[in-house]
Amino acid sequence: MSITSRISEDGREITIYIKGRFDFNSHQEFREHYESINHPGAKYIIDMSGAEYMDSSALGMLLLLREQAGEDKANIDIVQCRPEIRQILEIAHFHQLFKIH
Amino acid sequence: MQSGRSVSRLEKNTTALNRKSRESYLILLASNDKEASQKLAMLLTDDGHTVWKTDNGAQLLETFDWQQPDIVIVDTDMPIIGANDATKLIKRLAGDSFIPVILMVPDADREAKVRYLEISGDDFINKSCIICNYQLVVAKIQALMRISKLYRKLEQQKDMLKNHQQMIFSEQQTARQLFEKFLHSPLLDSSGIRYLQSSMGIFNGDLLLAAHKPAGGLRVMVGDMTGHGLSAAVGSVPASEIFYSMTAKGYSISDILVEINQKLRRLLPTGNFCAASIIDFECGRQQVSVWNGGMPDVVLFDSCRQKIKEKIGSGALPLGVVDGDALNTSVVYVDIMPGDYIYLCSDGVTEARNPQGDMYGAQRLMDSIQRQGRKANAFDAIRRDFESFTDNEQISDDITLLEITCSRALIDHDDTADLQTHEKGKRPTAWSVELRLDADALRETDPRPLLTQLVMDLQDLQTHRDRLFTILAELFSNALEHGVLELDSALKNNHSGFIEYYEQRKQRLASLESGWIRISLEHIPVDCKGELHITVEDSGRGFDFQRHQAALSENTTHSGRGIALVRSLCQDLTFQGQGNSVRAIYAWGNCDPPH
Repeated sequence: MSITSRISEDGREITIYIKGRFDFNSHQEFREHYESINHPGAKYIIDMSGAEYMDSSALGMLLLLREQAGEDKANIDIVQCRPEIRQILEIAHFHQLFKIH
Repeated sequence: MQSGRSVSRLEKNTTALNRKSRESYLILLASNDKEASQKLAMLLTDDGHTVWKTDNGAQLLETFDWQQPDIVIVDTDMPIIGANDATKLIKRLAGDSFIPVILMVPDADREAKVRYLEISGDDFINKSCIICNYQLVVAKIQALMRISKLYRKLEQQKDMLKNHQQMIFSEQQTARQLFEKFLHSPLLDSSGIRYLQSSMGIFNGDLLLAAHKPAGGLRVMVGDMTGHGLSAAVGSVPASEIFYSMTAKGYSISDILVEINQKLRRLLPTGNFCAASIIDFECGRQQVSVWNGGMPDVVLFDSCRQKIKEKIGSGALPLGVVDGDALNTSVVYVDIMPGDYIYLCSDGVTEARNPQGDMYGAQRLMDSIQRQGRKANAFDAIRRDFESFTDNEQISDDITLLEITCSRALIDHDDTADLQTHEKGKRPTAWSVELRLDADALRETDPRPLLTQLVMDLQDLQTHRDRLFTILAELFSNALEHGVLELDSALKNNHSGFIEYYEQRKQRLASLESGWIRISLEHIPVDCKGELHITVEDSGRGFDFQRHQAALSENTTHSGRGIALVRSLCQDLTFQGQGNSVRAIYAWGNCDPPH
């Protein structure tokens, strides 16, 4: 499991790349990444192309991110989901809370 | 003599040392060299230590066995049992304790020192040191004793930790029993429900709740709290409390979902939630209503056609994620036949892995249900499929798998059996209550549990609760659906019509602008018995009840069941006015002494 991120030039957008298993072990690391940007109205892109698996604590982590990003005003895109990941997000009905591509 | 002078100088030194060293130890000394051992013993004794001398290996071991010293000094030149073997045996006898062994070696033999340290000894001294460098001997003893004490301290801490661990474990066992008592419904052990539950640790983060509704029919909830262990299980307590108390009071699935959602939203930290699926069996109607928020598909197996008939997937967010308004609490209605089976599970099942790391998956579970569902012992076969796949691989999540036999769940639970004919406690008193709900209130409030509870509080008719609830429910539904919303009950006579009916109901209620329902309850004492007069009026146009009277009482279709049922429970049921008002009289009580 590894998480890397890239912040845009203007500091308003961060892309977080999730690789491997996104589970309760990823908690600390994931948080460090999304906390590294602190701009109200910032855009968060979560790139799941390398993610193999997601459990309910990973869903919880996305909710924590959403809280930081402004709840209903949050601007979060979850992109490049493999079918397994997409299915987990769909069952959790997370398309109601996040933009999923 | 030369040696005499050195001894006296040495004596002065040892006296000085004696003052310094506060500790005195029990030292076991084994040597064949009488002169050396005597000198050493004397020096050590002067220093305040207790010295026991032995001159061969066998005696050494015997003495050691009798009382373990603090430290052992062994001469490498020793008869009967050699130093090496003796030292090894001493170490073995010492067991978990650390008892230092110092070997006395002849000066010349360099290899010997290496050899002895390698094999068994903890340190060595040259024999000549005993005389010329006694301080070194003392220093070595002190050093080794420091290590020995450290070792003993570690042993103590280990024991403390072990006791602590035992204590925590027994606390958790007690807590676990409390949880089970709280959460486990006896209904789960009745026939009609088969289940498999296992938790990853002592506490289960999965919920499995079952209750009968007051108007009849089973309600089952399977839940999955985020994570597992104690922190997950804690959230299950308020959730189950709400489920059981609200079900007993006659609230609907949607009402319960709103409450649990709100409670968990407030209670749990962000990121924690409860995925759940709830099923309601409506007896009299061969139907279930299902809500699935974040759980694997709820599966309906048709045992007539021997295949999976329907899958109800997740249609809402799990509970505790968003505030009330954003949560979709609408249910899905599905027709069932008595021979059907319903399967629910938590994701511990679909995400379980085998030793090769493959996931069981929803598809494999579907295939298993499809394959085994037709068998007499379907549940056992499905369970076996699951267990043989996972092949005793360590479970990594709480697991719940449930099978409900529809024919059992549809049976009206028999409440006449335990109806007491003599009311203990409260005398009948006279009271009355009127409640009027206009359009807005009708949209937002369900007065049925409220009113039932009111009657319970005012007159303590607990054993009549279910029947009273049923009466109020039917009369109110009638007034709302036919009177105010003007729905046509004929729609409910066929399957698709039923769904259409409820759709219309939802729409019309949501857009209701005017209309009202008035419910009056009047309680009249009659000797030691009582009569409850229930009047329900609505703002609708009414209907020609005189013409329909006969039809109503014979009507066994979906729509007619309600009124016929109420009539059977009441002493009297009369339509009044233009048919938009109905009065039911419920008589209770018995003046005979209890039997």
